[in-house]
Amino acid sequence: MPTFGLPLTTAWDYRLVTLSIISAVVGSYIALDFAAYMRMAHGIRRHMAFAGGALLMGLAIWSMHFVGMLALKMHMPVSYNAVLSTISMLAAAVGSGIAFGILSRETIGKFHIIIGSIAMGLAIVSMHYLGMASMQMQARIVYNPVWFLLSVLIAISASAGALWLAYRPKIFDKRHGILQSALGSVVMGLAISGMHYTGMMAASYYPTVHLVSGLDVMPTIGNYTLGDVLVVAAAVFGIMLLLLATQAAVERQAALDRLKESEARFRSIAASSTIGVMVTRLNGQVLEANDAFLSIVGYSRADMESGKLWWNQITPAEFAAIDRQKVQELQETGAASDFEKQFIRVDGRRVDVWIGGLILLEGSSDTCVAFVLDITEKKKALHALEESEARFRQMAQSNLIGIAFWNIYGKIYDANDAFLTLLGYSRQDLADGKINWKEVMPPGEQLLHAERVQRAIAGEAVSPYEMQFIHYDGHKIDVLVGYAMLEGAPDKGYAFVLDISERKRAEAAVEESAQRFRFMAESMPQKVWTAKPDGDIDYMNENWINYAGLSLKQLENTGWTSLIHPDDLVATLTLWEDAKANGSNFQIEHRLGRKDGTYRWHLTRALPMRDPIGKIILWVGTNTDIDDLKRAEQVLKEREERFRVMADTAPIIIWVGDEQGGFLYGNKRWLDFTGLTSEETMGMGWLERVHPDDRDDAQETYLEALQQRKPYESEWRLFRASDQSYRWMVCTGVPMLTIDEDFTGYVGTMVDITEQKRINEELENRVVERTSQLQAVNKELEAFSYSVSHDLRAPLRTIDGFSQAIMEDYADKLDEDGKRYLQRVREGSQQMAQLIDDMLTLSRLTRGEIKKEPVDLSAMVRNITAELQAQDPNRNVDFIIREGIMAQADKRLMYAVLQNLIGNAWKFTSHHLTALIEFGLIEKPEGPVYFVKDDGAGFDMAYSDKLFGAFQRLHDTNEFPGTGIGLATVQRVINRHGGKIWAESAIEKGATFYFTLQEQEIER
Amino acid sequence: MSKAILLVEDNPNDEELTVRAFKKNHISNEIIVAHNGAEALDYLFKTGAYAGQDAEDLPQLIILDLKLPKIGGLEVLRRLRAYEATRYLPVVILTSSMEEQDLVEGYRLGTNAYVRKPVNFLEFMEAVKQLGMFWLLLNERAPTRVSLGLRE
Repeated sequence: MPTFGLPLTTAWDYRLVTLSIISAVVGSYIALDFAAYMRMAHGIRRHMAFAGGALLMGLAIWSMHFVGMLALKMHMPVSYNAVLSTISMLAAAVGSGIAFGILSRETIGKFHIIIGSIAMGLAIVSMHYLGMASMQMQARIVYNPVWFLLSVLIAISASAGALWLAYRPKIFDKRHGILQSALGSVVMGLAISGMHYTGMMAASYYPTVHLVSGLDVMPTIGNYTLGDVLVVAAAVFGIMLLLLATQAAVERQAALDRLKESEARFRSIAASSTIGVMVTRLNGQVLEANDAFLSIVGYSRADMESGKLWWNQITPAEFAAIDRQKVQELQETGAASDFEKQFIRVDGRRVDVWIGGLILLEGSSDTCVAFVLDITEKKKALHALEESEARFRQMAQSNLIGIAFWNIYGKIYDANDAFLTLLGYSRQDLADGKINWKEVMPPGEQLLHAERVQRAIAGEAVSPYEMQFIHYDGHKIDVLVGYAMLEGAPDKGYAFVLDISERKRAEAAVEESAQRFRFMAESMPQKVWTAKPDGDIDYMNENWINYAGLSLKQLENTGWTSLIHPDDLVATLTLWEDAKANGSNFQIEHRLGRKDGTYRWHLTRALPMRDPIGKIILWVGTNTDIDDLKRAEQVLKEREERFRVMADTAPIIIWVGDEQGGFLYGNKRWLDFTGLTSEETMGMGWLERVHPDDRDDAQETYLEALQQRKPYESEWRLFRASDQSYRWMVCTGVPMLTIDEDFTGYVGTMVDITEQKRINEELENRVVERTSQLQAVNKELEAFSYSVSHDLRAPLRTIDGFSQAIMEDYADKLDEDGKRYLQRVREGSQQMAQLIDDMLTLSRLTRGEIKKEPVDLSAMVRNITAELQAQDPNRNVDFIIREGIMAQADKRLMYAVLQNLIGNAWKFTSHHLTALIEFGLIEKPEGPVYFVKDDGAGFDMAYSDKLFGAFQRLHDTNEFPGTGIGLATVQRVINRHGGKIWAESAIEKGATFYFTLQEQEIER
Repeated sequence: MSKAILLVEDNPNDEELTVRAFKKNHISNEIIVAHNGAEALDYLFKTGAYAGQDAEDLPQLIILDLKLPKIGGLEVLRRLRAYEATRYLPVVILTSSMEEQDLVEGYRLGTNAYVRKPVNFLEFMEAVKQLGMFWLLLNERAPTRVSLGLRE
């Protein structure tokens, strides 16, 4: 199409320009609001919002463009191609949709903003130039490339600013959210209109016809005028605005409802009597509180409602820091963890409280709600327990109160950390709905629990009760649980849970300790009792009850006083009152009545038991029966007195020394003897009365004995006061030992032995004298027997010798009688010689030493029998000789004994054709008994007493020869060996001679 | 050196009976009787009444009683054993007693035998017979003084 001359001059209607900009801003606001909603919505709503937002954005850009075109006065008729202009709107919608799509993700970075801005900018640019292309007029449009490029840049960069405002995290806080989105809309509106008018600056219009008139007519799009179309677009936006407003109202109502519900929840908690609840400003003013809270702090509702109740004003200074810290925590995170503090009540008392559930009210930045629990009692209990056990410290440090919200189906849908920690569940478990009453309760508790929940649902107050929960890991926990329903929510309730396992354990420990005390008290042999601090008896053990024969009821408090002996009552009560008043130990010896009516002495003691701060909490007393002891003491006293009297009347000196060697006591006789006083004799004073020559020795021997703790005996001279002379004394002492063998000194006597000593000396002298006399006699006797053995035998030899000479030399001159008489003479002389030999033997055996050595008696007997048989081989005698009989004896003398005994047996069996002689031994407990037995002539036991006498014979000499000295000799030898000899016999029945060789053990 | 028997015996009865016993047993050696210890020593040491006699003239056997007047038999024994010439002369104690002290002392002093005089004369005769047989016939005398001296 040809052009004609200069481009058209155009003009602007600035009212419409303004309108175009406003429409762009309003349209952007609505579109962006849709886009923002789209980000939060899900499913079909999200898609609808997406489409709606994109379309609205497209429409907004489009509307702005055409209002802007209306503002252009071209002075020639213009119409727009409907199809192309529709396409331009759709292009804008598609571009916006792409931008919104990019920005619909959860997290948006710079990159997303840039890409989204390019899409949005191109949407605006493409709509504009498509819109220009739809122009139908008698002119040609020529674009200045610089302005064109500038328009594109403006579109993109302004979009970036707008989108950044709309999508970036809040520049302003929540309260300014609307401002931010408004600003975003303005920038977006400016982006659209800025691009549009820059694009218009790039365009120049060259007419293709000569302008006939400068008429301005309303352009048309298709069959409609542009104005009509724009009115429709405006209507669309109006409707959209209305929609958005409605939506906002609905949402506000929903938020309001939520708030109401939450408030109801708090109100119901607030209404409960156990937990205080307050709604308060962070600056300290309490806006609302339940009666529980008010009663905790002691203020009236009127005080609160008139704005006078400020929690920071009733907080002790030491808790200001933690309060500040909690307020800061609230401001930063919207909630604060629970803690303990104190409030000062209106009456000035302090009250321990637990503050929990600190959260900002929804939509508020300076108002919070807080649970307040009066834990004074718990603290007190804690304190009391600490005093005795110090175990509850742990509990004090723990998070004590658990709170759970539940519904009537048993599900726990909300709970605090304390509750979760207590049961070992995580917050995730809670969110996943894993916690319900059945899960946390042992089957045994569930019925009771259900019944209580039913009562709670029915509106009854369920007072807190103790039960058990099951921890997540399976162990049981003792808890105190209270229930209440949420106000206005008939299907929901809450529970507070206090962990009391430590208290339970402590209670069990206290109970065990009490039981242990009881057991100990019951097992003691004494009477045991306890009394309250005021002195009233509250416990007595079994011994007491049994002793008194009364019941504890009758004895407790002051009932026991009736058992005290009337004479001891005043003293007892006085001392007891003193002890109670001063908190001092109580001790008395007094008589207590037994059920049989007798009184027995008792040692009664009581000690106050104190708590850590020193307050008396209990009196523990015992009564020990010392009646026997007292009696024994009395007996001892009497005995001691008796001893003293006895000692003083004793005719000898009695003394007692201590373990150091000193003198402790001397009886009256000692004092009389020495002329000393009791005081003077103490210690070593007694030594001064000992003769100077004996003193050192006396002391030395005494100290030596003392050191070895051995019996002491010594003789020395002691000064006698009565005649000023020294007397010989024998002093003996025995160590005194206690039952435990502890050495305590000596007790002893002194006896005057002067006289005895004199007699002894005389006696000794006499013995010496007699001994020498005896020795002389002995010598004489020896000389005598020596002479006898020589001189008595000589004449006998002469008689015998010359008788024989006569018989030989004068045989022819003697007749038979003469020869026989001479023979008698010879026999007489020979018999006389035998007699002399035997007597000498007897006398020899009386003298001389006995030398004991081991002697084989059996061998000796064998020798003797062999000798006898050799002398008289014609005899037919059997011997039974027991072998190996040994004895400790004098060999020579034993030979004489056996020779005599065996010889006798040989002799007295000589009239029998055969004989049996036995030598043997009988083992007796007292020792061996030897015997020689024969079966010969025997003797009459009637004469057995003459058997061992010298020169005694039981047989005629012509029957059995002998001098009668043999058995006397035997007896003497046996006796000299310390043995005995005896015989058993009967006439013609043989004889048995028994002998022993030493004194029998028993007799010794 | 003679073949004589020195009989030291104070009791004349015993002396006569002893001599009788020797005679009866046909022992014909000369019997010199000393009636006490001093006399016996005089004879042996050639002193007193025997002074001047041959010192070599010593008996073949001494029969010694113990209980003697003046010097006892044991003293006689002690002295003759102390003297060189008589040290090895056979001495037989013939006495009444069997006192232990005599037996011990006799042997200690060096007697060659100890015989108790039996009261029974027949036994006495037997004892004397045995004595004479042994000491006078069987027994060999000790060598002479000279040879002994040489040996020393």
